[in-house]
Amino acid sequence: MFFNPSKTSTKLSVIALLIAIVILLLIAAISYRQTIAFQESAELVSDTFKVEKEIHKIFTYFTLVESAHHRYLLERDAKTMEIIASDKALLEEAILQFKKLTEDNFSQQKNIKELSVLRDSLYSNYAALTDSLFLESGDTLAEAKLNSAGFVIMDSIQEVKNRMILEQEKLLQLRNYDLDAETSISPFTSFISVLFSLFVFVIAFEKINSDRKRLANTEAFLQNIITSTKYTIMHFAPVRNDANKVIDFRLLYVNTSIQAITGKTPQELLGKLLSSAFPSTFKSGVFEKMVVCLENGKTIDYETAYNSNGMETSFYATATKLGDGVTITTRENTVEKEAKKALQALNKKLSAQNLLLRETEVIAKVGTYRRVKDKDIATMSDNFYRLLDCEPNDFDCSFETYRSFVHPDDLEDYKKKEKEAFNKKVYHPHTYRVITKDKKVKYFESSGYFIEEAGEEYLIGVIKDVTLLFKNQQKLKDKNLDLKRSNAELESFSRVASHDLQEPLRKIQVFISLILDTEKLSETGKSYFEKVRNSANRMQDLINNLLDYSRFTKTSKKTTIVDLNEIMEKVIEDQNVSITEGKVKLLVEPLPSIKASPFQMEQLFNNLLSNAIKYRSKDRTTQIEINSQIISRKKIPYLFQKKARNYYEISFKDNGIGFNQQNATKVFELFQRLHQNEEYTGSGIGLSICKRIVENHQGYIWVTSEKDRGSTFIMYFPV
Amino acid sequence: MLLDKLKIALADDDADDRFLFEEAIKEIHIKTNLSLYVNGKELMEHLTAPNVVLPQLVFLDLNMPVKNGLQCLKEIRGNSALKELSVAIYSTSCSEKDIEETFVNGANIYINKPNNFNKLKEVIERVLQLNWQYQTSYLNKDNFLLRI
Amino acid sequence: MKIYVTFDYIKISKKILDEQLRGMNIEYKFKGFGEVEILNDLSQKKYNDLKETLGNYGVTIVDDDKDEQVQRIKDTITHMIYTDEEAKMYKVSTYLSDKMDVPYTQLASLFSESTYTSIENFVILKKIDYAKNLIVNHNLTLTEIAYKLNYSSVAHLSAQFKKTTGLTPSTFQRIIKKRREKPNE
Repeated sequence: MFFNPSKTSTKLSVIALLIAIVILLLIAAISYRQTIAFQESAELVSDTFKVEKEIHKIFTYFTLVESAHHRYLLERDAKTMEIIASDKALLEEAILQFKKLTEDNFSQQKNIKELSVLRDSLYSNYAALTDSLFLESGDTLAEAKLNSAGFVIMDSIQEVKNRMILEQEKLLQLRNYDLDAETSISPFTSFISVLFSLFVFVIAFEKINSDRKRLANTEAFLQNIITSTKYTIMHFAPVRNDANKVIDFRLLYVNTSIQAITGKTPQELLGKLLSSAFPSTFKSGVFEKMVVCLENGKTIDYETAYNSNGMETSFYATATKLGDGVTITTRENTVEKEAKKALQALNKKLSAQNLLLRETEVIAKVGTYRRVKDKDIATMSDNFYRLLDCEPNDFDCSFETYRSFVHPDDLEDYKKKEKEAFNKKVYHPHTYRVITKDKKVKYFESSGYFIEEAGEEYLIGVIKDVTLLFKNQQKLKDKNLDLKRSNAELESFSRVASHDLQEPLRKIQVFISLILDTEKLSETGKSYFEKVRNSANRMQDLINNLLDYSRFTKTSKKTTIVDLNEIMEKVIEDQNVSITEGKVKLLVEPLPSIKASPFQMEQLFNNLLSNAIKYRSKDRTTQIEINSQIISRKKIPYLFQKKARNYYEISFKDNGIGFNQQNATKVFELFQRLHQNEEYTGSGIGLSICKRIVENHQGYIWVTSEKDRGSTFIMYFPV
Repeated sequence: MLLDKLKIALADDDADDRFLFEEAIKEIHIKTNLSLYVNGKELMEHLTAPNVVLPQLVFLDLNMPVKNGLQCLKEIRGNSALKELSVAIYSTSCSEKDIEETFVNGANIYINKPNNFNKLKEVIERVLQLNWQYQTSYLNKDNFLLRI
Repeated sequence: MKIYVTFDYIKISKKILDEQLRGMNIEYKFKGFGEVEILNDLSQKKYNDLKETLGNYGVTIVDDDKDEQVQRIKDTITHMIYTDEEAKMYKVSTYLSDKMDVPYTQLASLFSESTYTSIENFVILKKIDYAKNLIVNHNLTLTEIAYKLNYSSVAHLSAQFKKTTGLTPSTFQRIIKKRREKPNE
């Protein structure tokens, strides 16, 4: 693997390389030894040849001496004597040389000793001969004997010579053999060995080279990682005191990611002491951890924090021993970081919301609470305390303490409701009274629901100070009661008016009619009674009209979708007689359906129609047009409160006697009559009722009129 | 004679009204036998008495102490022995509610007490005539409704 | 449970007469509306018995000549309104005098003398009574009723209805409807 270099392969190649070196060394050693041996052998051989040469020299000199001696014997020449002397010197020199050469050769030394003896004997022989010859010249026998002894010596010398040469040859032979034996292994073996060594060497080199390359790659890769990683990697070397105790660390390496944390570049930090670069490590126990790591060689994982510009960042760190130092790898706790970020955002939001909530609570006069189910643990919002006229956290909030605020009259019910809520886990909102710290009675409306959080159940809820509402409600109730009472009074007044008041009046009328019919009265008396009767009749009219009017004072609750066409039909049916009698021409266009009280609508149309018929002109055929259309409120030219976007416009147009437009407002007023003429009897109440009805239905009625031309009553009802 | 004396009854707590009614009855052509009761209770006691000769027509004032007209009406209509009886409500009230309620509860006639004696006579005469027709001319009494 | 029924009075009357007369072994023949010819001789006792028996059913033997005449007028009018399609072509006076072979003036005076009302009023009463039946039991519209009862217009009918009963047809209808919807007490 590229970034996991195999240790075995490296080891192997190193071993192979070592073996190759050993073999080469071995071969070198052997070769050296061989060369030395070879040299020695060669020297020995040349020594041998030198010895042999010396041997041959010695015996040549011997031969020369012999032959010179013989010639001397024959010629007796003094000169020959000189030659013999120089030859003898040469011989001596050669023997000396030989002796020197064969110092270490025992057998040759023995031979040369023997030879020296033989030389002496020869010399003595020669001396004897030479003397004899000089003395007698004629003793042939002695002479011959001397001669033969000379020959024997010479033979012995020859024999020694042979022995010496043999010895020397034997020696040479032995030495050549030794040399051969020594050099015979080396050439082939060393060749093979060298080849093998070269092979191994090449392989090993290749291997080592590739490993080196790979290592370089890996290192580049690691370097890459180290520089680009978010992890911060630092290497510290220990700083020891005299007692060999680690007292500090020195930063030897740090990668660039440190800058993001400390704001300092690695260059700024390198070489600094831990105590100066990261003083907090001595307080946080990190230093001790590093020491432990260094001393025990244990890898230690720990968490630490770095405080920069008030922002605390949390790290996971690993301390590893590396050589006599500690490598520390730290990585930011990202999960925590993200969580922290989210938490911070949430916190911001929450605090804003809390602020709002607090404001809201104050404004809305509400408080919130939270209670652990089955435990008497609770918390209340600040405003809750304030609503109880207490300062926030004035008292320890618990069920018991809170209950002491509940109004004694409501306590039983309160307890029951709370118990029920906790049993059923459903909280039904209820209202109860509390007595605040300032002894004020307040009405609290409490609502809540149960939630489960971390395995515990809570009741969370809201209480609302509804005192004002309650009091207003009470006021409203009282007012409603008043209203009901006055309505009832009005109703009883209606009854009184309709029955009790009418009863006596009716009797007055009846008895007057009885008097007028049956009693004989003077003309004056009759006229007086007529006046009484008229007044009584008028009074009855007024009472009836008042009753009619009062019947429409209240908005009818029975509103349904009313088809005004049907209502119109009914009204026409009701007024058939007067329509027929008055020869009224009716033009009714289709009408809408509206949400209304059918009875009131009938009354309205009835009044308008009878009004139009009643005030018809005698001069022309009466024509009444009833129209309707939908109109946008913007197009309505009259001022009234327009709640709907569109309105139905319904108009009753007649060609009757009409009236002055300036009296338009008056016609809708109670008991206002425009026509004093007896022909047009009326109570002046019909149109007031119409106005009432229209207004009951959130509508508007108006009239445009022209004297002797006719009137148009126009109504608007919300669509 | 076809026309026997018509038997009618009036329950009204007001003495004047009883007087006027009696006077009016006297002056009309139809011969009647009128009995008067001062309240609904008295009337009902009479109507439910054993062996009583029942009137053909009763006039009931609505507003009466002890037992009012509507209660009487309901009792009459709830009593099968009295099913032939025509009931005329005779009241000052002209409220549509009263009128409809009494009709729905079985009244045949609703009379607003007139404020004129002659009119009273006319009204009573008309009622009696109509009732007579219902008695004699195969008219459907279930649909006998008259409002004056 | 409530059921609503309509009656054919003539048929019922005839049926009652038939049953009672047969029950008393009296042979008879219907001669016209309200006129029965007895074929046997009747003793005074049997006549009284018959009168009493029929009286129980609201059937009166008219022994007065005037009463008999009035009854015949009423019957003729009923027939005219309910059954005789041709009657529409005639005026009531003509129809009656034709049918009864008596001058109308005579009938009219006889009628008002005995019934406190005029023939005209009676006709109206009878017509409105029929109209009520039609409204209540047959759900006919006023237009249909006006046609059936020979009114010139709906307006005429409803005006006459109002005049006769003091109520408009719709109010009348509403009241009867409510009566029927009212639970039995």
